[in-house]
Amino acid sequence: MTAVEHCAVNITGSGEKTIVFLHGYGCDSGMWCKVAPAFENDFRVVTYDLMGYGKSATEHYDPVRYASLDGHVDDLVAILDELRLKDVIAVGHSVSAMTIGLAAKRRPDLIGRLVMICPSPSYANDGDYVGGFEKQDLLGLLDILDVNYLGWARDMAPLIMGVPDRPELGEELTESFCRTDPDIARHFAKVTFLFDHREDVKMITQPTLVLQCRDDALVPPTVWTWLMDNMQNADHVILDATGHCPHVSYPEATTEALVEFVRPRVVS
Amino acid sequence: MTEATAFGIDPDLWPCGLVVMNETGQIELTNATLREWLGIDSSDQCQSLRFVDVLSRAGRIYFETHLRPLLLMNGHFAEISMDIERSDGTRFGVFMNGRATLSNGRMINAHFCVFKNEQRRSFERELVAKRRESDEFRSLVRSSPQAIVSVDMDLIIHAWNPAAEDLFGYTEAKAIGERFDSLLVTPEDQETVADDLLHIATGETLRSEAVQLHKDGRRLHVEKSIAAINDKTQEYSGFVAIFSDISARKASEAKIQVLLEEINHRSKNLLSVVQVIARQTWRLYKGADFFSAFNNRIASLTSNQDMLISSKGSNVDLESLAHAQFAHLIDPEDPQVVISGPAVHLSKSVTQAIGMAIFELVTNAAKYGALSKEAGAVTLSWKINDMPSPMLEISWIETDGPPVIVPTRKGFGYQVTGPLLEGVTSGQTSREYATEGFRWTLKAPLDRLTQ
Repeated sequence: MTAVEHCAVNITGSGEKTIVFLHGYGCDSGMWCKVAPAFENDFRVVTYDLMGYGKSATEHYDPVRYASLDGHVDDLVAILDELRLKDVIAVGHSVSAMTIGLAAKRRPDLIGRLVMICPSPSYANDGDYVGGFEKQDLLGLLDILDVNYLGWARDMAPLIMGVPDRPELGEELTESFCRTDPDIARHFAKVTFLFDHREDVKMITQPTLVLQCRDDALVPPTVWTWLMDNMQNADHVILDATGHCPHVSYPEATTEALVEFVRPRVVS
Repeated sequence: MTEATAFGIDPDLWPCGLVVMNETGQIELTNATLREWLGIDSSDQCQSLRFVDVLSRAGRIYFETHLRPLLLMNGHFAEISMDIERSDGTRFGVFMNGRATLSNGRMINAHFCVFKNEQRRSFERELVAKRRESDEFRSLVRSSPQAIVSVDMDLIIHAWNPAAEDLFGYTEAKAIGERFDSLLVTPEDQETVADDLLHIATGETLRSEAVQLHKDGRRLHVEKSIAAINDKTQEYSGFVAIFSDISARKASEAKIQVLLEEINHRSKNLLSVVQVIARQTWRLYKGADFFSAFNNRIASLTSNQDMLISSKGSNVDLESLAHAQFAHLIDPEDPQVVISGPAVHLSKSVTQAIGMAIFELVTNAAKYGALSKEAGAVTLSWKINDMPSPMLEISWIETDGPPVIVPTRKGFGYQVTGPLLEGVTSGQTSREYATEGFRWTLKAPLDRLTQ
């Protein structure tokens, strides 16, 4: 099985240039449904589910391989190689902003430009750096995942047991947006929230658009400032939006900012 | 719009917390129940807060990464367990349902109802702790390098870890549900199973070395520990057995046994050689001369033994090697022994084997053969045959000794002058128990001996 099959890669649109969208922690590629179609006229648009999420081949989720973002970077590189794509525009939300950054550093030939949506190189406070959370807050997330797993297990039980005379339950399953294997969610939560990518972010040389929301409970303004001070080649745009998922809650504003960035530059 | 009309009836009467959040995440409305839980007096004060501000910090991450996207994409979520945090940092647990009012894919607002669940929460925490404990325990058992098998009262296998798969050859799927005794216990040990169970039922832990069956019928040497499993009421409910593979240790024990037997053979041999030396020396020397001659012969025996046993052997001339094997018994001028042959320089690898073979022949001749009688003689000679390729042929011929007796068993001496030597030299040996005396030959490719 190829990486393209493993990660349920979906290709739409047409154009010389390709845009690859990577969803963030907690959901799947469905999150791009309000943004990605806007690029199909001018670009080849690639979306996929991170291993462990959505329609990916979760049976291949290897906790060792995915114990850091490197496993996800390997997947992105493999997908681009398999599709013979070079010099793409990579759009990564939240934790995937780090994934595309690591991939851009490793294979500059594959990724020409980056868009990071609501990125944070490190969520944990560390000395002068204010990531917004203490380590125990982040570990508390694992507790929430665990208790809500109990609830999910009960929700999912009739589905797992198979109840053919209640099709609405099947419908519920197809609607299972954002639902994933609780063990994977827990594992990926650690990878997402406990790692520190500050040094990696400094190494990115490709032109990068950093999109932040003006009020994001996960990414405080101190993080924006740190990124502005430490990234080599980044434009910083603060959207008039709240929350951590502007591509879902404010798709127009997000799309507009993306279009502005990817529009071919006029050569003077 | 007043809060009362927004909810249709007086929301403050409801025994659950009610919240309306606007598109940007600000709190628009709250009911008195929630405000009371939060320790906030006025609804104005609440409206200055974002909804995430009343959640614990971990809860904010969960809300923004899971719940808010769910509201936008699915329009609702239910039965989410959360911690609500007061401004003083204290918390309480709640269950929360949420529903969004969507218009063209945008959220106009969202309604939440919040049920305090402090009592259930402690139960839930207990469940989570239990789950973690059992997860940890499971991974401990799975990672154990020792085979762990649990068995119920009816001897049916309930747990079978990967180390057990490796050791016994059965997969977990195959082993679970099978009877412990029919899968692992050898026919001769079947009866001891019941005894073992009686012992462990009294609380004893059995530790022993045992032989168990592998899937392919092989017998495995294992070290096993068996202890009873008692349920919560301390009733016996089965047992857990832990096995570790000790076949390597058993093999080395067997090797040590072989070595001990070899040492025993060699020491007995050497003692009888010493007896022969004493007897023969006494024939020729008396008084002070005897002791000096005897000492010389023993010293010569010792140095030859050192050379043969030491694995550091060096390239040696065949003639001096042959002489060395006789030196403890025979004066060089003694007509009883004739040693002759062309110069052959033996390689290190074969010196020890050929020397030991000659020493064995000398010892046998001195104990039972031609050298045990004064009139007896031994000719040890060798030649090189060039056709079809250079072969060294060593021959040992005894004459005028006592009547030849064909040995009834093939002991260590036979190995040293036969198969072992053939293996090392790629040669062939032959022996003949002729009436006039014992004869022995070795034919081996010269290039194997002199490399």
